[in-house]
Amino acid sequence: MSEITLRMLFDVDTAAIGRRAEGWLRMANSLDDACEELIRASRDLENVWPSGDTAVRRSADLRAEASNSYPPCRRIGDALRLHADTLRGLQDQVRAVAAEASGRGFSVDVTTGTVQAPSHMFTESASPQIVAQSINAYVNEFQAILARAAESDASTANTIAVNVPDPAKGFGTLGMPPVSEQTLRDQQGRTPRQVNDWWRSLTPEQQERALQDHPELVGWLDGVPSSDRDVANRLVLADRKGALQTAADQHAARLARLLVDDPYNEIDIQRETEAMNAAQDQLGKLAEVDRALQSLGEQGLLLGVDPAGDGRVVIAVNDPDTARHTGVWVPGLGTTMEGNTVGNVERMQQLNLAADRHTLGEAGDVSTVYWLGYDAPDLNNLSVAMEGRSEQGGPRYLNFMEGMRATHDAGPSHLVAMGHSYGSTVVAEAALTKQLPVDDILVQGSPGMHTEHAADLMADPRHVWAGSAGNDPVAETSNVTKWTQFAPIVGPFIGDAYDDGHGVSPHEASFGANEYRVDTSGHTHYWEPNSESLDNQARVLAGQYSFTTRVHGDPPPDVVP
Amino acid sequence: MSIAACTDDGSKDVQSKSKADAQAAVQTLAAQVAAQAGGELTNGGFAPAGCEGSKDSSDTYFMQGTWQIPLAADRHAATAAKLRDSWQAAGWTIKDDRTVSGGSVLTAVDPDDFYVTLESTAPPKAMSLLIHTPCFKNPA
Amino acid sequence: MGSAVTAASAGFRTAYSRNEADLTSGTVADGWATASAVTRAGEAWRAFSGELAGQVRAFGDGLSQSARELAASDQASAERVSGAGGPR
Repeated sequence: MSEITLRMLFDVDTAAIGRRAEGWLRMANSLDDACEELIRASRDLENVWPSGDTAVRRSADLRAEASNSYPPCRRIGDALRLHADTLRGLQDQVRAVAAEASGRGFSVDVTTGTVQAPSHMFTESASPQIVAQSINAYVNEFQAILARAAESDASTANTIAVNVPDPAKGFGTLGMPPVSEQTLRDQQGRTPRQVNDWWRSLTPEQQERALQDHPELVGWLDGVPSSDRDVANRLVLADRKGALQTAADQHAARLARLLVDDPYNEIDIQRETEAMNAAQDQLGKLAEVDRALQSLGEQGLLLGVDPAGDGRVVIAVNDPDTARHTGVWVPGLGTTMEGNTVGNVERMQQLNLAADRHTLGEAGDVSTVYWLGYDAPDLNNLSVAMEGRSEQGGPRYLNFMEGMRATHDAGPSHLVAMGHSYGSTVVAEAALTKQLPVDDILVQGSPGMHTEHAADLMADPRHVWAGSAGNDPVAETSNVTKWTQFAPIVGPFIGDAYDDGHGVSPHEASFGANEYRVDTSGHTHYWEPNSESLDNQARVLAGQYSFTTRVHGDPPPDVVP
Repeated sequence: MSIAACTDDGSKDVQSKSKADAQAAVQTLAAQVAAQAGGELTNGGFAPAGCEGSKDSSDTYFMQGTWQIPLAADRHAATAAKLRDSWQAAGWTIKDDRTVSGGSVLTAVDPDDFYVTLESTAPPKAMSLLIHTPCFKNPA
Repeated sequence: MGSAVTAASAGFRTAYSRNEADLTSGTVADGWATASAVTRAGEAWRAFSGELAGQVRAFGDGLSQSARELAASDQASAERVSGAGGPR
């Protein structure tokens, strides 16, 4: 290896290395796509090929060989990207050291690494030795920088060399071992960024097997790309529907037999009735998810589904991993999977349409996500501990949002946290950790955000946006009478449950958020098409802050596309 | 608001119109607006949606159409002003008329209760056009 | 199925060819080990992706051919059976 000189470091075109990195990463993605196509095309070979032992073996070999090529290609791209970043940083350091030395009167030639002191510096200095030491120190700094450049060069070249296919055997036809259930469960304790790195290190065939074998685990794993989560969750949806239908039919058949053969066996009759109803209840929830997905067609991605308990579901309108602007919305009080999925997804469609028209270019550069990833408080359930719910919901939402950042493709992305009513407190709980990686927080009809200052939610409080209808009872929790009108049973309880009931409303000027204008009526009409309420939300989502109409507050500079 | 007829109070009559007819009416109006603005309709799309209070768009619905009209940024304010004047003269009600740092906004309702919004896009190389019908009932 | 496999082969070829311009762009023997490594890697990957695409296509073509032969032999058996008076 030849020695790296300062001139070489100074001359190296880091942008060109960056372009090479992107080229290798694009090739890796194309290989990934081609593998998926091959896997899809040959998936059913063993079922339809009558005497296909040889063909089936050959197909498995080819899939393995093709799949094995993706990780090394990506590793070359990653290595080059890191190398470009490292060299860019070192170039900056060279310039900084040179500037400092020049500032102190030394003459520096950065292409040769020569540092000289003008003769008067020696004569004027009380200690010429100190001048010489300074020169030495600068030269040593340059040498250290060069050593790091050489180290980066050697390790990058090595990574590239070990990821080159063998001329005869390529990357081999030995399939990688499938991902175990335990490995998948272990991912749940890791950050979405780590999960994403791990997922990307798998071959396409390993990813495909993990999706097929454990869709219920992959489907909820933040950090797995949205398009893969969609495949997993649609499998879960189909499987669960099949299993629940079978269970419901079996209980119904047993019940029918009991009623004929043993009509006084009340215990068993009740047990079978309850089991049948429970299965049908879950089927009802999944049917609602089906309807919502049907209405979205190709625009829809199912990012999570679980009919157990109160039910959890996450549905995206357009792919958040490729969108320029993404908003993830948490619904509020009394939201149920069975009763509200279609209606809430329609709200996300309306917001999407309204925001997408602001962005120039192709449709689909805005994604709106309906996130019911927590148990929303139930208006009919007096035992609900609402604070507890948002404290549970907050971390899950935070993890999902970190996943959104981790899975987004290269290129800028504007991410907005959105919450309605009680959902805004879930967003607040996540934001108060100071870890929520969003560009804006946008709430509708918020009863309070667990703080008196918008600056506790976003470093720049101009990026916190609150709106409420004048006659929205929830947005005025300080007035417990209104709560009581809204929900007669739980009114006083809600007043107690929110510490914000006597705190500062996010709509008060002293809170420090921007209050956008709302022209719709009541707690549930913020998404009426062509309303100022919807338009203002769409403008924030599209980063077109200057277009918002406000009751008070100043907009930050618009997001530059 | 124009969509008051869509609320579930049922107090107002809802006109009957097929989605195809509603779409054609929106398209015609869009072409007129584009001609007035001196630009072409691009990136167009239609999206029917259920009226407020409807379960979905199979019963009562409104039709929305969106487009982008490519137009140099320095023409947005003048174009909005020209359209505002001609719409006012034609008896439309102006709902919003502003110029902000990001561009211009103009919203009006025509005598048939069609809602029309013109707004600068980001980047401001075009104005987005949204046309939204009142609530219609699908013919039986 | 054979034709779908054949179609998938194109993706392996274009994965390289569509990005060829960037993979080793502007690389000159400038003394950096990375530059020469990436040039060698580019050549190896070009050969590999072409080979892989060829193998996938040959496999897909083979499947299609077998399927045609199978259909033809099915047809022949069916005709033989019907020639013998059809199934009893």
